[in-house]
Amino acid sequence: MTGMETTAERPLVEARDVWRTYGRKPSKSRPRARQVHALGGVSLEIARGDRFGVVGESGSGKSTLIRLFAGLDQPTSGAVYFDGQLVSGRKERHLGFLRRELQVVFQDPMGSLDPRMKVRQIIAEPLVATGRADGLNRVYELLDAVGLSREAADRFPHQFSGGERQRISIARALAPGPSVLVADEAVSALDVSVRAQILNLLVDLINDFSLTMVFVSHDLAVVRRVCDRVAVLHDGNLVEVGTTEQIYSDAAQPYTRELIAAAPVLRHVTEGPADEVRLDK
Amino acid sequence: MDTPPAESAESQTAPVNEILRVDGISVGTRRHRLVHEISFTLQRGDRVGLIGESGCGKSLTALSLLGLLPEGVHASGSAIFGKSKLDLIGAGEKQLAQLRGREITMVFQEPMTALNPTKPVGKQVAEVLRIHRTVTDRKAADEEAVRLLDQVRLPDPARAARAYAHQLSGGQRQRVVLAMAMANRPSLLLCDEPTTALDVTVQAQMLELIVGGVTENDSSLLFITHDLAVVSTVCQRVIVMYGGRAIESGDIEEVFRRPRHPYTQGLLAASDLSTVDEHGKLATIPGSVPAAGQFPEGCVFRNRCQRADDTCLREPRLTAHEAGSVACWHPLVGNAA
Repeated sequence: MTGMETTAERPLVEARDVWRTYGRKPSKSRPRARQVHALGGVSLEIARGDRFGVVGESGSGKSTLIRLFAGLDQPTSGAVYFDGQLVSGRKERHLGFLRRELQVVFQDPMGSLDPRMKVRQIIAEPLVATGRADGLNRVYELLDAVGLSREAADRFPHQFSGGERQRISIARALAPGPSVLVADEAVSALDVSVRAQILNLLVDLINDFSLTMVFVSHDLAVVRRVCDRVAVLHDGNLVEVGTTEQIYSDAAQPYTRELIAAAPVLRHVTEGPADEVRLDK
Repeated sequence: MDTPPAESAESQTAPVNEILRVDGISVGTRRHRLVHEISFTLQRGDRVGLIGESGCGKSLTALSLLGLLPEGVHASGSAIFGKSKLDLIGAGEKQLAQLRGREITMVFQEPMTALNPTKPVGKQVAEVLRIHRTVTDRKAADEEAVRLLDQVRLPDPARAARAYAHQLSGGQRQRVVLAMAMANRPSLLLCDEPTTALDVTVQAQMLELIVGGVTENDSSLLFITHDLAVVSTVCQRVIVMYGGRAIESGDIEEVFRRPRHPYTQGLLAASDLSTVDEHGKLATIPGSVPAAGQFPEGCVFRNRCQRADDTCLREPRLTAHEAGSVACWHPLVGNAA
């Protein structure tokens, strides 16, 4: 890739041959040392407007990859770019642009919301941190966007249900007006009826705010619903990347097919003879 | 002997295949009633799913059967177990300790907390055998433990037996827990979200092992999960819980194909990620599950139900219909659209 390309063609998020290695090589003085490659040379490009899914089992490197995207960890080798700017290897104080542009929603809202802060403080924190002070009005705007009432602003996280807490996390992530929303297993801890609500909300927000989404999940059915491109990771390696359609109906790699086949499905019970399907009114 | 009273003439004529008859179990604290009068029976070989969202009382129902309710939570009603006709609710700790790990066993969601971190896992499997004197000889018990670990398809079981819990992966740990649960060929296996923390490929193997083990021992299975797809691969019958009540039950195909309760229908629709409405939206159930003690009077699902009217101010009873039971004043019978 050269610097000559136009913005439109430049990937928004890019990983170039990224390795992340823990431990060290065995040597004479440390014969029992072990080295683990959490990521073993992953290259990926995520374009502006993509709804990009990352799937894989535990230990596949999903979380490591998004930590690198978010500049929360450094690759052992290789480089991560955001909108053409280098992210990897940079000091935190030079990553202000990334904090404004890329925000993360985590799996466990209770673990990622400070229990001693009111919702208004939680949501306003990224605004303060990125040097913006439009304060309470912006907080109300964000609460509206995620479908919470304004009264929520003066309550504490423990006063909300799991689904509402995840809405608070999403509001906080949207606060600085990012262009990329990274969802790390954002619906995995939610109840079935609430999961559908949050997925609908995410899709709405992506459309309304023209966001690019990176959606990380072990749940293939969820990724299929919300993403239009999917990357499959296995043991730190990229198995394949393709459109959702192609990955789910005609995966090139045996591992991907295995993964899809292993996921339990409801259809074989709910779908008997065609005329008996009565899930909808 | 320490076994419960000898069988009466009556119990010998009663169906021997009945493993558990639960009759009106309620669980609650002093302030809140958390589970309301759950009743069901398990025959030998039955695989029954208890499904519902968090806080609906699934786990409390199972824990009450083992006498393992948390401090300050009490159960009432009766649960008559097996040939001995022992009522598990209100049975003494001594009697329950005899059953636990032998006749009734349980697999929990989090294997790390179910295993002892300071003891090799093989020893823990052997311990289950020796405590109940299934195998008295230490060496024989250790060997049997290795065989049991092999049965749950742990690679290199002899080596795995010497490993500590932290040296195993999540899936391997859960297999060890299953080996312990199966060690004494229980007549009743309780599973509480046993695969929720596992990856899909590992989950698939685990479910196969559970069903295989239950079938081989001719045990009954009570399988708790919030995942409808999982329950549909494991169970034959299903009980749907909401707000501490059983709101619908029946054969799994009947319940999933022709749900009568609006909550069951909502749960099925919300679980189906492959269909969206004309606006590209997934089906949802409005609102969220209320906190314990915050459920409405009358029908517990009333405040989230589109069919609710004044009739629903009275609580509907779980009533039998031609193919199961439902607790609803306005069931979606035959789904009159």
